[in-house]
Amino acid sequence: MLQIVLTLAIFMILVIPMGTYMYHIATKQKTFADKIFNPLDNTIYKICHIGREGMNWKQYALHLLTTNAVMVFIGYLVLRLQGILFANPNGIEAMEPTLSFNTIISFMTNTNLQHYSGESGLSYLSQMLVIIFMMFVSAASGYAACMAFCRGLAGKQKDVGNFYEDMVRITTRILIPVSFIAGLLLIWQGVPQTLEANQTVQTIEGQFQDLAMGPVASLESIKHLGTNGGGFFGANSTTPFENPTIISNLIELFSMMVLPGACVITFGKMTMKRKKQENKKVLFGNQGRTIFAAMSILFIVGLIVCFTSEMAGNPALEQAGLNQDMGSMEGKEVRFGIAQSALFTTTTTSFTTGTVNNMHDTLTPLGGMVPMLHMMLNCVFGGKGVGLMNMIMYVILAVFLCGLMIGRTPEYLGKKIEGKEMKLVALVLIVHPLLILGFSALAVMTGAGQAGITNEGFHGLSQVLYEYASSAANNGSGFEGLADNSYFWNITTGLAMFFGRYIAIVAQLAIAGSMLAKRKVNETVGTLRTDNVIFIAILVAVVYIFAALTFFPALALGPIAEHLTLWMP
Amino acid sequence: MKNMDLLMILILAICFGSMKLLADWCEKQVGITVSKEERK
Repeated sequence: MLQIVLTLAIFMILVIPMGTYMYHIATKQKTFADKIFNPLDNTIYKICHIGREGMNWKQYALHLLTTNAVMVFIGYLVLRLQGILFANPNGIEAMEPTLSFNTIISFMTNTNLQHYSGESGLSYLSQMLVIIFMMFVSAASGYAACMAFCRGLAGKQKDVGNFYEDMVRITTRILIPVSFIAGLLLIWQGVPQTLEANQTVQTIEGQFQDLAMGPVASLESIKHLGTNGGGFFGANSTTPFENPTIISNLIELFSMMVLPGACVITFGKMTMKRKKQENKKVLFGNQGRTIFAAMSILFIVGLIVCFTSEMAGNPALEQAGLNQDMGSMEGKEVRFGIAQSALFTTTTTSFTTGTVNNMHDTLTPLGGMVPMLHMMLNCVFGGKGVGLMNMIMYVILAVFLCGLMIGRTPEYLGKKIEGKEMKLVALVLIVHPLLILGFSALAVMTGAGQAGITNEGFHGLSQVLYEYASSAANNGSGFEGLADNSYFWNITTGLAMFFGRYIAIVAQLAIAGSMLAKRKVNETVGTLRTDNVIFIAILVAVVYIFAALTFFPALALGPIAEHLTLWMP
Repeated sequence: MKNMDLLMILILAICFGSMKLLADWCEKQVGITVSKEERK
C-alpha cells in the first residue's frame, strides 16, 4: 500500500510543473525552451506553408478530421504493402484488409487496440511509419482538440486557435523531448533499441529460441506518454523486453499519468478569472481544482476496489490447493506484485492508455470490473485531454440538473448553458454507452460475434463488454481471451473506435465554439458555484448515477454475477 | 483481397464523410441562436 501512496505522491509532484508548462504552451506564453523550439517550429511552418491565423470551432474540427483522414489512408496503404516495402528483415507479409482497417483506425484514434502481435504482424517500417508516427500525431491531435476546447470555454480570445500550430507546438515542445528522455531512461533499464533482425539463442535446455528485437524503447516511451498503449510485442508491458524492472514500471506509469493530469491544471489556469490571478503562482485554478479533485476521488475509489479484490485472492484457486496469501497472482508478474499490478491496471484504463503489465482477463471479477467501469466512465483523467473534455460534459450536466432543481438558468464559467449546448452534451454522453452496449448486443446475438467469445457464461459477457468499452473509450487494452482477429470483430471494433473518438471531438468543439460566442453574465448570490466541495460531491454523484443508469445492468450480468458465483456458490 | 480493400476504404470514406455531416449539423444547432444574439 505504501508504494501506491508514494507513487501517487510523486505523480502530484510531477503533474504541477508539467501543467504549468502546458498552460504556457497553450496560451503561447514564454517558456524556458523557446530559444530551442521557436526556430524549429518556424522552420516547420515555413516548409509546410502553415498559416497561423485563428480558426473557428468548425474550421478547427474539419482541419483535424482532414489531417487524420489523410494519415489513415496513407497508413492503410503502408500496412497493405509492408511485405514488398523496405525495412522488413523478418520477411513479414502484408496485413489482411479488415485487420489493416482495424489497426489504422486503432492507431489514428489513439486507441491502439491490437488484434495482431507486433513482433509477427508488422515490419519495422510499419512499426515506425505507422505505429510510432501515429502515436505522436494521434496524441497531438487529441491534446490540440483539448486546448481548443479549453480556449473556447475560457473565452479570452476570439477564436479557438490554429489546429496546425497546436499540433506542431505539442509535438515539438512536449511529446518529442519528453519521450526522448523517457526512451533513454528505458534503454538504461534494459529495453532494446535496435534495427537488427530477431536473435536466435540457445536456451539452457539446449533448445533454440527466437528473441524478437526492434526499436522497442522509442516505441515504449511515446506509447505511454501519448497514452497510446499499443505494445511492440503482443504481451505488451508484461514482457521484460518492454518493462524489465520496477524502475521501468514507474517510468511507464508516470509517463502515462503526467500529461492527462497536467491538462486539468492547464484548464484551471486558463479559466482563472482575471489576469491578476493568472500572474499569481496558483497551482490548479478554482475550476481545475474541482475537476482534479472529482477525478482523483473516482480514481482512488476504483484503485481501492481493484487492489482489495486482488489482495483477497481467488477462492476457486484456494480450493484447488493454491496458497492465496499473496493475493490473486494469476496472470501477474512476480516482480510487480499485487500493488503495482492493481495500480497499473487502474491507471492504464483511467488514463485511457491501454498498456498492461498483467493480464486483465485473469483479474478477479471485481478487480476486472474496475478497469471496465473506468473505460465506461471515460472521464477519470482520460488520455490526451479526452478525460478532461468528457468530465466537463458531466460538469455541464451537473450544472444543468442543479439549475433545474433550484429553478435558475444554469451557468458555467460565467456563460449561460442553453438547450443547444445540452443537446450536444447529451449526444456526447449517450454515444459512448450506445456504442459499447449496442455492439456488445450485436456480438452476443450473432454467430460471427459468438465465434470470438472463448469463455462461457458471465465471463464471456465480460470479455465482450471489455472489448467494446476499450474500443469506444479509445483505450485499447484487451481482456486477451477473445479470438478477435475476424471480420466481425475487426470491423465492429474499428467502427466503435472511430465514432467513439470523432463524434465526441466534433460535438465538444461545437460546444466550445458556442460558449465562446456568448457574453459573460455577472455572478450573483444565486449563481451555483462550481468551485467548492459541494459541487465536487455533486459531480462525482452525477458521474456514478449516469454510469449506474447506463451500465449497471450489463455489469450485473458480467463481472458482478461472476463475483457472486465465485464467492457465494 | 482487392474487393475487401475497396470495401474497407469505402467504409473509411463514409465514416469521415459522416463526421463532416455531423459538423454541419452541430453548426446548425449552435449557429442559429448565435446569430440572434449577434443581432441583439
